[in-house]
Amino acid sequence: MGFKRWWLVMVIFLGVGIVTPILGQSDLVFMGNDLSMTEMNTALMKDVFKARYALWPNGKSITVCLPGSKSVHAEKVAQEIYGKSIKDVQKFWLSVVFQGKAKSPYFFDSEKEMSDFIAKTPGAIGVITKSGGFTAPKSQLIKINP
Amino acid sequence: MKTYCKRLLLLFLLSFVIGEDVVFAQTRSTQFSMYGHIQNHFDDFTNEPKSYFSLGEQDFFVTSNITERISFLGETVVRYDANTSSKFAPSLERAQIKYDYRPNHSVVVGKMHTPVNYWNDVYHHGRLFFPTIDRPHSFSYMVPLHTMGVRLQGQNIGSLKFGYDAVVGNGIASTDISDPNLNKAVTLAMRIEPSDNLQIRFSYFNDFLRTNTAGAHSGHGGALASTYKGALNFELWSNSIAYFGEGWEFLNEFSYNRNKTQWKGYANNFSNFTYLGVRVKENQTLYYLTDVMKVAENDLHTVGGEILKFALGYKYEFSYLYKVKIQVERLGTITHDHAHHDAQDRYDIKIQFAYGF
Repeated sequence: MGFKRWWLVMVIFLGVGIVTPILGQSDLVFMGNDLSMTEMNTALMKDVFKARYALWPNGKSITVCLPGSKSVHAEKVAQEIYGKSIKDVQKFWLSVVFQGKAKSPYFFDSEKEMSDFIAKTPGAIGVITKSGGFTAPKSQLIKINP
Repeated sequence: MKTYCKRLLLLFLLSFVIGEDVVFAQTRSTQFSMYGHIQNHFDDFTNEPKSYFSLGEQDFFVTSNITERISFLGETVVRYDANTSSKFAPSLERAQIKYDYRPNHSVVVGKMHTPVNYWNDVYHHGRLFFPTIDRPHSFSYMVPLHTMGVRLQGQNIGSLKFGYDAVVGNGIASTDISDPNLNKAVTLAMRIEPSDNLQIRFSYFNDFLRTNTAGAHSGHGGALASTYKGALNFELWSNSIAYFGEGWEFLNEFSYNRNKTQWKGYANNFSNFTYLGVRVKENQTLYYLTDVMKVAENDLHTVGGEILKFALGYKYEFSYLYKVKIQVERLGTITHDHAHHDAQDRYDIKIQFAYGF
């Protein structure tokens, strides 16, 4: 193998090694309606899902949509956004609502139901995973930047 | 013709009312929940043992999004009340309207839990959320549980996630419908959240009581027993450190209370509650707690004395809506001087079934 070929193989190998984890982080798909933004950074996204804001910049009330505990997306979402188990996420929301800090989130067992709800609820934001195979409407997609 | 017109007008008004309801239905949602607990006691098992079941507070909780920015929260608790024939009576614990005027700032009006410390702001009546079976002893002597008034609050400010609360409202002597004092009680509280699981709080509370009386909802049962009915300036400084991680849980509630009267000068009271828990499994926690409180001899606001409690406990969560706690505790005094307090050194076992749905 010549030096050029060896170099090319190394670049591809290293490239795959670097790109794969980055792609792995973007397994979550975010959907929203009338959020006053079509993209946001990870820190803001996590703050929104952790009930640290009540309103979007356009004054719309934030409505959080999450996969139901039996959904195929639930575990991944709980780990990646909250760093907790599904049960601990349920406890978190029960406590936050009890404190009066935020309104209750909505839980959906199907991606279609979540997408339909978001479509008719301005200010709603939801999350699913790519692995579920559901194609979210382009008009609802929210890009999350690192 | 007149009847026809009336019917037409009625139909028009009816269609307006129905139509408005449909519009509201898209944004308004009302949710009812309930929390409660049942306990089994085995008291003073080394001296005069007593064993009994006890029905705890039954908490009816409602939230509603009235408009995009305005929401309501109500909490009514039905609990033991010796003064009624059924021995149970309802009690309005919270009724508050919140207006979100900025993404992370809001104003609350109504009856609320005074945000002087982590426990009172986060748990209060929710035994399902309590890390232990009982709340700290200081809640019956020096923590002002409720305020009926107005509250400005904010959260998630800056990299330390600074939060604040400023409350002005009826004071310790007030009832839900009136306050004998012209001046109002003031609470100033701040907190930071350096990480997701860690919260540190500081607060200051001040209330000048023209007469030393405790309203029904102040929580100051000790003050009801005090024979002093003169003027008193009540101040409370509080600090909370709360850490609830996946493996460890820690909560420390410190309170320093200073009461000034014309006759006895300053009385310095303090309390400290420490909880340390380790999650041995995701749904099982072993914990330890210490609860100490000392009310000064010259204090006229309350009849408190000294309390020192140690406890070991075990929590088992069947689900996030139902848990069982078992606690073995020793209740006594700091200096073993019972002259001014009725608490005897004793050992109790408590089992609590806490639920919510």
